[in-house]
Amino acid sequence: MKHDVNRGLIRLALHYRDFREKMRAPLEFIGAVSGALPLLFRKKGLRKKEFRYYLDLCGVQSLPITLLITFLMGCVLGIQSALQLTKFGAEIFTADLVGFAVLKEFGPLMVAIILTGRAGSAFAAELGTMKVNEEISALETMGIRPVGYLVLPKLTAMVIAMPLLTIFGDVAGIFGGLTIGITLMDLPFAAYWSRTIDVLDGITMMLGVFKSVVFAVLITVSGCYYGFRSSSDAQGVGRSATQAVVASIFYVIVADAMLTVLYSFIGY
Amino acid sequence: MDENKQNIRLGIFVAGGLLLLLATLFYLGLSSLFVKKITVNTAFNESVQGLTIGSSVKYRGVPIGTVSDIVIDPEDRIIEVEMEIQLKNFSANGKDAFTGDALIQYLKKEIHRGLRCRLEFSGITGMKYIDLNYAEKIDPNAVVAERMTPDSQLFLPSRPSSFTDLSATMITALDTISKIPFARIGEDLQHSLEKFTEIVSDPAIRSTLAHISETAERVESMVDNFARTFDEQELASIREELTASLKSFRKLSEKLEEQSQHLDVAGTQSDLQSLMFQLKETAESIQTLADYLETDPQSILYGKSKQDRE
Repeated sequence: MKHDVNRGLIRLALHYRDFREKMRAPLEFIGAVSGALPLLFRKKGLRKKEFRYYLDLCGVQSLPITLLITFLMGCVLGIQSALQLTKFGAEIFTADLVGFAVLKEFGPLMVAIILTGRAGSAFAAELGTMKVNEEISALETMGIRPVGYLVLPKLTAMVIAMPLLTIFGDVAGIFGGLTIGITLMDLPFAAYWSRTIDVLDGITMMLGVFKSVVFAVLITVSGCYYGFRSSSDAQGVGRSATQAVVASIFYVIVADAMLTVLYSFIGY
Repeated sequence: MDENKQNIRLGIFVAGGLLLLLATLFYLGLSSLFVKKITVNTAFNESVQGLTIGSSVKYRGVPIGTVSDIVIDPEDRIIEVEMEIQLKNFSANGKDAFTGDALIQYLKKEIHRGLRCRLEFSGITGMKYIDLNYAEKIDPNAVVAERMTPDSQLFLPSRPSSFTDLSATMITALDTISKIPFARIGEDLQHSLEKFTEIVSDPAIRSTLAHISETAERVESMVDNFARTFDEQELASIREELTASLKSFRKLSEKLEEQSQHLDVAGTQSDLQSLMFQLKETAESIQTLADYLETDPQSILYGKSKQDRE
């Protein structure tokens, strides 16, 4: 009996140590990224070429797929809401439902999921490959802090690209609902459009855009973290990319839930 | 990739995104900053459940503005509502829209014609809007009177919503119904029923009912017999005979009437009276004779006794 108790306590202590170690690494990484942020305000602090590359990768190259997916999502929302609202003779409220759902939730969320697949996994794979090639060790040897040097261009590009993509996605989603409204439901274009403008406001849109900034930080930090922690072999790079995608989606969903609750406290 | 080409792509992406943001923000609210409007106040002495900041304000169904503020006056528990009314919806004869002062003057004039604010449901969702419309009959007690408002703002009186009217009517009806003594009526009814059962179960009533039933049967059989005895043709002939008899009777009575006019009724009457008098005297003499004979029967042979003659 006494031995069982001792064994249980030892196991608990080992679990606690593992948990502390697991928590320490991400917190250390977040601290390192935060510590590197002042570099953005220094001359030549941000590597412009890399920043342009990542802005192109995350923003411009992601634009077509973002527009397509959010437009289709607007169509799906329009059809589903029309099917239900038609029963009550309230088809015009499709504009409300699609508008609010796209601006507050699905716009930022879909863009975050697209960029998790495109950028988050790319960041993890890129940094993992650099680790395999010992480029990160070389940077450290040269006295360059790899977090500031490698993460800041990605983070800056994502924080700029993602809200812009969200704005494009919001408009595409509203047009998706509009397409369904005026084709399947035979609503007049002017009625749907004026209803959308009446019920939506700029604050609702900006709250969605703010969500996308939070998601951008989470996706970039998760992707880079798992890239830095990749084991130094080819399989490790693949694993780190997978972990980065899974973790990013999880953090994005949790953050979305928390922000939605937070917005509800301020009446939105 | 060529750096210049990349810069152009990035420039289009960033500039396009920012322009789209500005355009969307303009459409979704910033445009309202440039719309000319006036602020008008009203107050409701009822629940404004369903009315929120941003709810529509309509003038006879036409959207003219929105609710901009809702405040509770704790002293008299009245809900004060501030509305922003757009000028662009009001224009005289299709000309330019009213100015702010002109709209205020117009609304003041319309208040005297019965313009009142009223809460109305905007659908099945429970949301409400404020409807500005003209009341045909206004109960002065039901209208929230003018309240303290800034000099630059107009106060529009309000009247209870149709739902409040309906609920007030229902409350009155329920009050009236609740005053009906259903328990007592029930007791009385039960008592009456018991009495009725008692009366119906009385043997005299039962025998009466049996008699009535028997009589009805008899009447029925009589009617049957009558119907069997007199067929329709016989009845017709009887009717004709009766008609002829009535005609004869009428003729007879007419003749009698004519002859009676020729009779000397007064002379005949006095003759009859003297005749009747003589008959009476004769009858009395006979009665006297009979009484005398009864007491003295031999007088019929020997005449009156000596004593009687003296």
